[in-house]
Amino acid sequence: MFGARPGVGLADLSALLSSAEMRDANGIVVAEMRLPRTLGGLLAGGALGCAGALIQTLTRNPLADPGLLGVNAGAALGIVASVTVFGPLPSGALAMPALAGGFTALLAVWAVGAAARSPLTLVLAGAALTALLGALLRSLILLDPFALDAYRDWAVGALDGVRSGLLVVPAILAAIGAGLAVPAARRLDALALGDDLAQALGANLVAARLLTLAAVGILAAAAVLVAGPLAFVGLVAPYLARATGVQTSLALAIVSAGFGAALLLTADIAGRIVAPGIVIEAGLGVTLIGGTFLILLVRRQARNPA
Amino acid sequence: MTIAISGGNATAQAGPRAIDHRWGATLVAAPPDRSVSLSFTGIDAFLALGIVPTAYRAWYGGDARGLWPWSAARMAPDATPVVLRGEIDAETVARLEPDFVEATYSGISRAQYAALSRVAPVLPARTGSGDFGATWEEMLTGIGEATGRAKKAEEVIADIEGRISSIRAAHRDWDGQTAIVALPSGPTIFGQSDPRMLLLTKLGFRLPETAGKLSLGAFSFKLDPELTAPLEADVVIWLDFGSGFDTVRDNPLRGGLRIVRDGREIAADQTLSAALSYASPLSIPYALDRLVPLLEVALDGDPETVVTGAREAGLVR
Repeated sequence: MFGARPGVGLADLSALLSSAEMRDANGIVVAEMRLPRTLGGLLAGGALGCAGALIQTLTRNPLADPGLLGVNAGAALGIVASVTVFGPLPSGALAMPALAGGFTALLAVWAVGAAARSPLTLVLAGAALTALLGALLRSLILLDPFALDAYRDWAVGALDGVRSGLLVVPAILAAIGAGLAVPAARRLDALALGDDLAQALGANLVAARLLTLAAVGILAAAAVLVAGPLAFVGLVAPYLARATGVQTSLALAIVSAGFGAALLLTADIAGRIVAPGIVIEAGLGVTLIGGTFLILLVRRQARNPA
Repeated sequence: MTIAISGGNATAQAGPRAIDHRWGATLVAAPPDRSVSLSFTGIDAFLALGIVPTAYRAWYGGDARGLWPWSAARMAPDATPVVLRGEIDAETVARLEPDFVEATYSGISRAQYAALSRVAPVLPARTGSGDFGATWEEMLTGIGEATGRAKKAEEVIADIEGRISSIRAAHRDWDGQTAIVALPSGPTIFGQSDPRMLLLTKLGFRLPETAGKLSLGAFSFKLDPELTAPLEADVVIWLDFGSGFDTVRDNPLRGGLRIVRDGREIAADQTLSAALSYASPLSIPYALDRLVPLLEVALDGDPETVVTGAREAGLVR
């Protein structure tokens, strides 16, 4: 309903039922642009919201973000390195290097996480790796203007370029991630009591952590493939979810996914309303909305310390 | 803008000259021996004046020395200027011991200007030009004044202007026609103030109103992919910076575009795209040689004639 093209309305939804050859221009816009864009927003926002809830519960750190595990930094480096080696690539060709980079980074943090005794070690490992990869990335983009362009375009985080063909791999990843998230969330509830008590109750700490990490990493990878590295969605959605009074980790993850999807779509649509005709990337809207929200939240907490 | 010593028809006029610019004035003592060019297209301007600088900045692509065909042909084969890449580092510049630093199209900040000015006289953009607003004429004039080759600079400018006006005279029908220069990704449309569009303006073309409104005066903007009306110019020139034209070809709305039906698209290969983007006194003649025949075919009013390169780019079935 919200977009730059004049005259596209509910009636054009019928295009979704007709065959590709029969569609008029407005039908093409609905079926091949707005629908994939919306699905991409639901998928990326939902994955980030869910991953954010899991990582915040796991690390017991309310500022934890799915990007903390190095997935975004790894994906960014994958894109920049491939452009440095192969020269400029069409945006569709950037998915593979992003995926490879993201998963490599995730495995590295995972390896540390397997040995980690506390969630803090994990957060530190992710932060250290992110810093290291960031340094490598900066040295590459300083030397290659094309790598800089590719990085700049991708790093904002956007949904405008999402086409249905680009959603297959992320959808599979999101499904796997969501599948892992359910048992992970169940185990996290036991962990919330503290490591010692959880162990005394017979919970397998390492297994719970690795499972959660895998779910978070795969969900974050799904999101980064669709929309680039979006800040704040995974951070803010769990806050909104907690405000609804959900109790278990699983409920929190599910409600967070809903809020994440809603936040991302709102940001994308807001961009289209603010400046019809030109592209205001969803990443900008998310940062504005999410950032404002976070500041308000911190102020309120400062006034009424829990 | 100048308080240069005037006159003299020698190749290099000697004597100190002050050049006004956005951050004050810069005094260049004598024709410099060791010029360092920090502008992304500075090497072309120096070579157009017959000067090989001590060091220059490579923008993108080209040969091992960062030179494209139009500038490689003008560089003395035995010359070994230093090629600077990436960000500007004042220490690197200082080690080159320059006596003149040219930075009209370099994006240097005021702080960088101050730091570099302790090394040598620095020439940034003129007042009103902004970071990347200096035209090739401004750059050439500034370098000409600083190096004592103001006359030569005038001649080069007059030469190119002469070529442009004779092309325009031969193509009166182009006057007032609309043209778009765009990158496939987005698509990203270049605005009125962009050097590529400035060149087309000189040939008589103008930016379509819809695109002009959306650009808000910026060098470029990313068009919402749902919209096609701003692309409906009399001619569209797609640029290739290395990722090809697949994004243009795969646009789902392509089938409904008039520019497509009428065969009014030009797929500029990487070298032509670079020539248009450099928009330098050396690249413009090259670009005109190649672009004018393409424009003639695209604008011949016959949808059947295929613009050279369009089929290879996948824009014509």
